[in-house]
Amino acid sequence: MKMDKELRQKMAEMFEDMEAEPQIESWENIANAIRPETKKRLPLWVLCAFFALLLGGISGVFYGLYRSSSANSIVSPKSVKIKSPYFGRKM
Amino acid sequence: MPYSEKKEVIDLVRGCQQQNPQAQAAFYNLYKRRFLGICRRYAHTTFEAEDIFQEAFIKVFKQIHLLKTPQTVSIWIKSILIRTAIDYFRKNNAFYVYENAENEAHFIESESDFSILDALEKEQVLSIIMKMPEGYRLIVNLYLIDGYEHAEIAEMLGISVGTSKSQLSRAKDYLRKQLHAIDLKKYENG
Repeated sequence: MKMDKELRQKMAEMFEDMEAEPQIESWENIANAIRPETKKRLPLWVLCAFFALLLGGISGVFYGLYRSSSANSIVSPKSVKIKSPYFGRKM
Repeated sequence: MPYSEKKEVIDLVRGCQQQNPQAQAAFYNLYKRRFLGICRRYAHTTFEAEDIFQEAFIKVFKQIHLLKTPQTVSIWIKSILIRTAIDYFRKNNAFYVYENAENEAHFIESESDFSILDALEKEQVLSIIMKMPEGYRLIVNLYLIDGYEHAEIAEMLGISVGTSKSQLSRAKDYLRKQLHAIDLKKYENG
């Protein structure tokens, strides 16, 4: 046990002041990793283009709906005139 | 001026806790050489040492806000560094410690003579440590150099106390043989 204690003491003393110089890139890598993340903002023109497209899309959908509703509109029977040679004849 | 030095370090820690970039750079410059020195002992190559060093320092800066006693910052950094080194070898599958009953039974407290250490340069001993198998290198560093006890090592490495002791015994045998090989070479070369 005494030997063990001596060995520990020798080894600890030998390496207690051991130093080494890191590469210059080390700090750059560390600094990049710890830099707080900044919120990325979209450029104004991208936002404008997005809203223009959105608006265009919405109005397109409404226009399409309007067109289809007018084409399939219900017609009253009185307003329908049937031109047929058999219509109204006594058979 | 030890007091002013301590105060300076405490101020740096507080600066780092506030994520002040100047304080972080100064803090890094203060500790970089000493802590890379520790990493070199734990690593197989200088590249591995740099990897562990960078990984550990990133953890230090990310967790420094949790440090409540800035006076103990160097002990705190060292413990992060050692745990990072252990994790590094686990992650890279390089970490291997014998864990079985046979090895525990194999444990003999050897009273080998290490007086040869006095005649050797630090770099010579370091090169032996760096070439050791991972399991031996970890135990030599943790027990012989950094002063951890077997119970602490067992907890850190997830092994039993008996395995830690048997691993140390084997590592010491390895170290003794390598040291004597250097000694023999010295005699052969005159």
